[in-house]
Amino acid sequence: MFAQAALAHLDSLYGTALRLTRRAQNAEDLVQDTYLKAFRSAHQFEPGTNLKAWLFTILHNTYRNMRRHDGRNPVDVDSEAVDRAVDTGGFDQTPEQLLTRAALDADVQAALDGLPEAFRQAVWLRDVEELSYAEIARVLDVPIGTVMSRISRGRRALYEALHDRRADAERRVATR
Amino acid sequence: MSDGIRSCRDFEERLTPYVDGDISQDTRRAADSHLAACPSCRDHVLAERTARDVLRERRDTLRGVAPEDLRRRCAAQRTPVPPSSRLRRWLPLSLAATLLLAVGAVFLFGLNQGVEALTTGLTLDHVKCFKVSPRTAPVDAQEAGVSWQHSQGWPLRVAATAPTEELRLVDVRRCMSSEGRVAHLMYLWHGQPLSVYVLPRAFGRDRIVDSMGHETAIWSANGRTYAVLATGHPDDFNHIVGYVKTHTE
Repeated sequence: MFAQAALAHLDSLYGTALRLTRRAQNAEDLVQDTYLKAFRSAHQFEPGTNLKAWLFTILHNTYRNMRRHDGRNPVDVDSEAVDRAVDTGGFDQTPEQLLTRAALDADVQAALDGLPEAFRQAVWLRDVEELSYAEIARVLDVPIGTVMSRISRGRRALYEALHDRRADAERRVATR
Repeated sequence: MSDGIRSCRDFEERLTPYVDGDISQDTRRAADSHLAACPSCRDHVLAERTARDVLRERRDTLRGVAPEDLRRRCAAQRTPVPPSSRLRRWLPLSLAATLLLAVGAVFLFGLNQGVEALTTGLTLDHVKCFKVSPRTAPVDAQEAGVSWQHSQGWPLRVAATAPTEELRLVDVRRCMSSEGRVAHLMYLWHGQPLSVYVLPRAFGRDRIVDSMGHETAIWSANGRTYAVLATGHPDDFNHIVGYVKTHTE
């Protein structure tokens, strides 16, 4: 039934909430609020459409409202500032040498968490949660062009971050 | 018409969909020929693709698992299920359906009495129709649609048997309602009865209703009302509703 199908996405919602709030307690509250709203507005869900994307929309909406109440700005993206911070320089080694199998889980976690929030959210929804561009646009409440641009920059920033970590690790090994 | 990619800037705009395989053949060709001549854009593609693959491989670890007691707390947020119809209190479902058969009654349900009354009627009809053994001869979806239009005067597109969905069309019947003839498409889904009803009038809000041990999804589109009804509460109900939606009208 609807409740069961909705609860099946708990892990996804919690994983995202943790990355949004950065604290387990806040993440749990956010997820609980999301489910409360979801069950109350179950009649608004259009049967046959993507339930996970619908739940994510509620989650992100709730999160944005939470932050507004806090007096902090919802995600502020100063594109130029972010561009300056993420300078994709030349590539010394091939991706195959640096990444994929070679990257440690912890490194990937850290690199992801180090991304600017706007980019991290877009990349997360696309590459971890497999939402479509249109669904992500609805969840984040931004135009679809912005979604693609954030995914692109997010992925490249992630690559750079992993590239740097790997280079650091190798340097440390070399100087022992 | 091919999408010209004359500069790196042009390519940048299409880079992410290109990496995700989400572009037309023409654009892909234009992109490929730009990449053949541009090492810098090739680097960008490789970087994006690698980052994407790194994340994809680690989906489950990155996502993690929610704490067990959070699951319990969220489940507790469920709104209580509305009390079942009066009929259920008086009679077990199969008995009610059998009585209908015995009396030879036509079960009248309609769009004016509200969703609960409608789903009760549909559920009884669903049980009744599946009790009377469906045809064993294979049913052709297209023929059924054509013959429906002939006899009823309104068009019907019937979703055909789909082995990939474990969905088998077993019968197409005319059921009576206060709205007139209703199309009842009977399927076996994973070997279990699944009914699709098409009513020739739009209803109102989309709903998912739990009625007497059956789950019904109802929606309206293009002046019709559709209902998909399954026995029990299957996990992939939403999926089959999506499938039916695309292949029936």
